[in-house]
Amino acid sequence: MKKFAFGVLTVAAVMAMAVPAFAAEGGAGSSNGLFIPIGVGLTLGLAAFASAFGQGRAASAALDGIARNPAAAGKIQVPMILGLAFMEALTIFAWLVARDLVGKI
Amino acid sequence: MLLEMAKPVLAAETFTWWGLLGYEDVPFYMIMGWVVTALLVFVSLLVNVSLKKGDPVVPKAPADMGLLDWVRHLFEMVVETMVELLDSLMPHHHEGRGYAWLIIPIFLYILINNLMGLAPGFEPATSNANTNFAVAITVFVLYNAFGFWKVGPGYARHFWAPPGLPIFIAPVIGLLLLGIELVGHGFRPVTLTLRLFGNMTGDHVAFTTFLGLVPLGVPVIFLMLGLLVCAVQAYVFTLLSSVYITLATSHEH
Repeated sequence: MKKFAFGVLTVAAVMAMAVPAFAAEGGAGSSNGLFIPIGVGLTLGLAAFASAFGQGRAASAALDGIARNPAAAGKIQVPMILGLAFMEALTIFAWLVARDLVGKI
Repeated sequence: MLLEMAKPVLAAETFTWWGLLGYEDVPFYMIMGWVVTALLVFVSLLVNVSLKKGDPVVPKAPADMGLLDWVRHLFEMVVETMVELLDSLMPHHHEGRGYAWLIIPIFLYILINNLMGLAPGFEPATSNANTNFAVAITVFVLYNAFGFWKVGPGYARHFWAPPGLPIFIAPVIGLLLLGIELVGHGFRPVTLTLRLFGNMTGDHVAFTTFLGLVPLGVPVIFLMLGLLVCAVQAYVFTLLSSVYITLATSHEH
């Protein structure tokens, strides 16, 4: 665990040192132009990760229920799909935001 | 001559049936909204005729059924499912079925709109936020109206602090809860709109992307996914509307 945390901190420090390098190049047009692609990537990445995590838990609970009681599979399936749809909707909100951000690059 | 006729079709970005007739500039959600409304009214009239002509209770044998009977039985399936849903949410004296006049058209309108988007040449009206917002704001206004109608002026009590607090603490907690409740309630039409809009647009974009990549075979899987997403999103919208009405009209008996 300590090694992993040390590794993450090293990567973060290297990336932080790279930011002035971007600024010196005079890269993307405006002064905050270099953060928009990072923002888009982070938005979608976090949304996908969180959605996968939550939906995995919902599916896991549903599968446990079906394993205990296979006859109730039809009754368990419908609320599971419903729960998945709610989590999917949040991910799609994140995609809508990312879509607008990509238009601003 | 054929080339003259084909030019507007080839020049348009997407192929639509009304583009063939020359109406490309009309917003797609208006045309599709009217088409789906006309279709639903027509089907409802057919069902009405079938109910008046035949026996409304006893179904005919499958061999004797005509087209009218098929349409009527499809409609009855939808009505039965929705009434069961409403009765399960508001079981007291079958109170739930009193709202079926609102919930069933919402479900059918959104479902038929979503499904028509899967066919080539049509664009789902629900992939534009205006259609969705119209239905969502109707549901919003109506569930508050039902709250005031069923519960009376005490419905506004939902937004303030619960009764039984000391007189010095009550305004503070009341204002806090008022803010939270207003934001929560105002957020509901927004999420209803955007959930449906995002799902339909995202589904369409994914399908178009894969159609560009692999024109043969793979998009069929996305059409099947599209069927699932259309049905689930229509059901989610309807279920949430019913739950909002239930929460607004809940009262101690």
